Amino acid sequence: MAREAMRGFGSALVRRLRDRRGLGFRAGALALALIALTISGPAEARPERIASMNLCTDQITLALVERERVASLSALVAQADYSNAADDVAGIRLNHGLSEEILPLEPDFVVAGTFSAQPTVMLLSRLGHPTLVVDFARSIDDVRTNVRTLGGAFGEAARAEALIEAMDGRLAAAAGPTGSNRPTALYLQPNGYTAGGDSLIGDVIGHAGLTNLGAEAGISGHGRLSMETLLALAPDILITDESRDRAPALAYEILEHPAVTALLARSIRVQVPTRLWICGLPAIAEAVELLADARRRVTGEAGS
Amino acid sequence: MTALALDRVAVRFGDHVALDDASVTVSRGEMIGLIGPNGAGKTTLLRVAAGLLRPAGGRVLLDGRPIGTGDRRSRARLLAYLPQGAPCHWPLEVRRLVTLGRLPHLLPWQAPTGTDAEAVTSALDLADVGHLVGRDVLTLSGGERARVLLARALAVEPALLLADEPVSGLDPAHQLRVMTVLRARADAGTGVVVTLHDLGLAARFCRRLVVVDGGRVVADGTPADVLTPETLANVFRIRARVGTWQGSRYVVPWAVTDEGEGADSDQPVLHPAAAGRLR
Amino acid sequence: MKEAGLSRPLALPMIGVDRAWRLPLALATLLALLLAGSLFAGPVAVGPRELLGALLGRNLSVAEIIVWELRVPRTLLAAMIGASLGLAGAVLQGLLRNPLAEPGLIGVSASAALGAVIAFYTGFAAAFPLGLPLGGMVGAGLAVALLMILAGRQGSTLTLILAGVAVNSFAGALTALALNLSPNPYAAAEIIFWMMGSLADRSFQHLGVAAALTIPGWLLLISVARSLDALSLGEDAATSLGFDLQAVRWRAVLGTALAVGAAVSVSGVIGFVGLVVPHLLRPLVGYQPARLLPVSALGGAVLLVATDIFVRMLAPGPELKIGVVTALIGAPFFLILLLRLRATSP
Repeated sequence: MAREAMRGFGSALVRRLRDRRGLGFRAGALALALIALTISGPAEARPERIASMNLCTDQITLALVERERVASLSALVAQADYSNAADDVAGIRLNHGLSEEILPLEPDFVVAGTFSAQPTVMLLSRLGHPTLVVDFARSIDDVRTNVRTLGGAFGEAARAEALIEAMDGRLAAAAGPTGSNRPTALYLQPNGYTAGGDSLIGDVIGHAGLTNLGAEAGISGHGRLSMETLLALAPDILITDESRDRAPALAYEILEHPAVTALLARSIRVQVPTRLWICGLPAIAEAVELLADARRRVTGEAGS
Repeated sequence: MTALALDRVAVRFGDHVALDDASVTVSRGEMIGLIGPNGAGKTTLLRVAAGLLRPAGGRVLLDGRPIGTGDRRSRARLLAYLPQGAPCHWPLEVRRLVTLGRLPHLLPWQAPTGTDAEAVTSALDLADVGHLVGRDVLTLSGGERARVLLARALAVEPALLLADEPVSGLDPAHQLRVMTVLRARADAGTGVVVTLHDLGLAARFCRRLVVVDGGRVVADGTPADVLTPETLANVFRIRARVGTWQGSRYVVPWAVTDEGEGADSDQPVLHPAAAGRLR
Repeated sequence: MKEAGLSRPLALPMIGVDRAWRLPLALATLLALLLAGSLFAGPVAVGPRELLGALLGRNLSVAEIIVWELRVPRTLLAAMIGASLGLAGAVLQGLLRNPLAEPGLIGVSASAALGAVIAFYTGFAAAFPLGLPLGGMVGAGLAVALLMILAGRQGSTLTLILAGVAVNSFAGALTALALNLSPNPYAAAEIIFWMMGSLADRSFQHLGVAAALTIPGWLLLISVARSLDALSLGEDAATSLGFDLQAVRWRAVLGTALAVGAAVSVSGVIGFVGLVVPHLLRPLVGYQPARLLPVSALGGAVLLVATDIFVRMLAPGPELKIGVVTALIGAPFFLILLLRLRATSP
C-alpha cells in the first residue's frame, strides 16, 4: 500500500519546470527543495542502501547518514567546483543518472532532483524502488524543509534538526541591523544573469542584510539584465561566483567588460564559491556570512 | 619601324600545341589581317602578342623590349587589346565605358582630365557612336555594342591595336563601318592586327595578311600573295571565287574542297591536289 | 527614386557641389546623424544634457560609463563593421562580376566565425589579443581563396552560390563541433552569437583589436577600385589596360579576409549587409564598380548603425540579435536578385 501510494506520488512529482532550465539558472536549477512528499508507512523506515542522483540530495544525504548506508551518489559530487563534499566521497560509487548504474545496486531508497534523469527515475519508481523526487530550493526556508524531509525519509530526524539548528545559529549571527537603510547588492553571473526575488541567492542576499537589486529591477527567479541597467543600478556590492581557471567562453566577457571594471571601482566585489549556493544546503550559511562581511565593510559596522 | 615582334613563339595547353614556331612582326601604320580556320591559333597568337599569355618558347618584343618587362601601364598605353565578343558585366553608360580606355593614362586615384575627355570624344566619333553616349551599354544592339567596345579600345590611343574578331556577328554595314575605322587608324599611324573570318573583308581592308593553321604561320604577305587557290584549299578547305575590283582583292568562298562544285570564276580555280602545303 | 529620396532634403545646401560628391556627402551626413542618435539608444534613458556631460567626461557618473564604455564603442563598431561588410561585398561583386557575391552568402563570414571560434575557445585569443581577429582573418581568407578557385574565373552564379552553400554548411558544422568540444558549459549555447551576430556589450577592446586588422583591410580593398572598373570589360581587357589581375585578386582576398575576419571575430556573422547595400547604391553611381566602393562602405555603416539602433529600441529584455534583423531585410533582396538574374541569363 505504502509503496504504491509513494510510487504514484513520486511519478506525479517528476515534472518539468519549464521556465527554470538553461545555463543561466545553473545555481537555481541544482538547488533542491523537497516537494511535499512525505513517506507514508512506518515512521521508523530506515533505508540502508540509499542511492542519490542529484548533487544537492547527495550532499544532504552525506550529512544525514553514515557512509555505509550510501549506495551511490551522482558524479558531480566529486567535483570540488560544485560540491562541498568532494573530499569525502572517495570509495562511494558514482552514477551519471543511468538506470543501468542504479539498478544493480538494488537500492532500498532512491533520491533524485527535479532535473535528474527523468526516464531513470520513472523506471526505478515503476520497478518498485521507493523514490523521492525533490524540487530545488528557492529560499533558505526551502533548505530547512529539504533537510527535515530527507531526515524523516532516512529515519534521521534528530540529525536533520541539529543541522538546521547549526545553520540557523550562523544565520542569526550574520543578520544585519533591521531597517530600511540596507546596502545594495547585485549578483552577476558570467553570462549576465542575475538572481531576483523568489530565488535562493536572492534570499541569501536578504539574509545577509542587503537589498537585492535584482529583485528591485523586477526579476523573479533568475533573469538577464542589460549591461546598461546593471550599471544604472550601481550596487554597493557586486557579487560574482568564484572564478577559476576555466575554458574560455563569451559568457565571461561581461565580467571583464571595462564598464563593469569601471563600476567595480565604485563597488565592493565579493566572490562566493559556487559550491556554497548552487544547492540549498546548510552550507548556505557560509555564503550569508561572506556577504554579511561585505555589508559590514560598506556600513562600517564592527566585525563579528 | 617594327613595333611588335613575335619571334618563334610556341604555346602549349597541356598536350595540345596551340602555337608552334610562330613569327610575325607588326609595324606602326600597317593593318594586318590574321586569318585561319577555327582553332588555328589566331586568338592565341593575338593574346601572346598582347602579353596576356606567356609563351612556352620564343619571345615577344614590344618596341625592341621583351613584352613581360617594364611597367604595365606604359605597355597598356602602347598596346590596346579588344577581346573577341568583348563582354560588359555591368549596365554602364556608353561614355563611362569608353572612358575605361583611359585607365592606362591615369594614376591610380587621378580623375580623368580634359585630355582624357577629348580622347574619349574623338574615340566615340571615330567609332561613330557619339549619339549613344548616354545609353546603357547592355541595351544596345550587337552592332552598336561592338562599335562602343571598339571605341573603348581606340580611347587608349595606342600605338598598336589588337582586335580579336571585331566584326563577328555584325551585319554587313556594321562590318564595313568597323573595318573602315580600323583602316583609318592604321592610316593615321597605328599598327593594327585584326583577326577575321571573313576573307573578303580581310582582302579588302588589309594590305597584309597572316595565315595561321595548326598553330603555325603558313603564309604572310599581301592578299594577292596569300589568298591563292592553294592556300584556300589547303588551309581553309574551300574553293573560292577570287578577283579584283576597284583595286581591291575580293574573295567569295564557294564550295568546300571535298565537294564537287566549282566556283563561278573569271579565272580558273585551281584544284588543290596540285598544290603542296604551304609553309 | 532612391537618389531623389536620399538627396532631396540635402539638395539646397548642395547646390554647387559636384554631382559625384552628392551621394557620398548625403550618406556621410546620414551616418553622422545616426551615429549621434545611436548614443541615445539604450534601456537606460540618457538625456541630451547628460549625454553631453558624459561625452565631455566631467565626472565619473554612471551615465558617463554607459555612454563611454558601452554606447560609443558599440556605435563605432557598428559603423566600422557595416563599412567592412558593404565594402567587401562591393569588391567581391566587382571582382567576380556577380551581384550575389556577398561575404555571408558565400560562406566567408561563416568561415571567419569558425576561425574566431577556434582562436577564442582554445584560449589563443586570451593569450594574444590580436589572436581573435587573426583567427577570423585566417578563416575568411581560406574561404575566399577556396571560392576564387571554385568560382572565381568564369564561374557562373550557380557555381558561386553552390560553392557558398557548401562552404557555409561546412564552416557551420565545424563551428558547432568546436563549441561542443569546448569543456566550458556555456560554450555550446554561444553558437547563436556566432551564427546571428550581435553588437551588445562590445567594448573599446573589441573595437581596438578589430580596427587593427580592419583598416589595413579597407586600404587593400579600396586599392583595387580601378581594377574593378577595368574588370567590367573582362579579364583580358582588364589586363591589357595595365592591371595585374593576380595582384588584384590577392589584394581583394587579403583585404576581405582582414576586414570581414576582423568584423566577424567581434560581432559574429551579420549577413546580407554586403548584398543589400551595393545593390541599392549601384544604380546611383552609374553601376561603376570603383565609384561603388566608397558609397558602399558608407551605406553599410548607415545600415548597420540604423539596424543596431533598431534592435536596442525593440521591447526590453534580451536583445534581438542584429543578424536576425539584417537577414529579415536581406533575404527578400536575395530572392529578388536571384529572380532578376534568372530572367536575364538562362
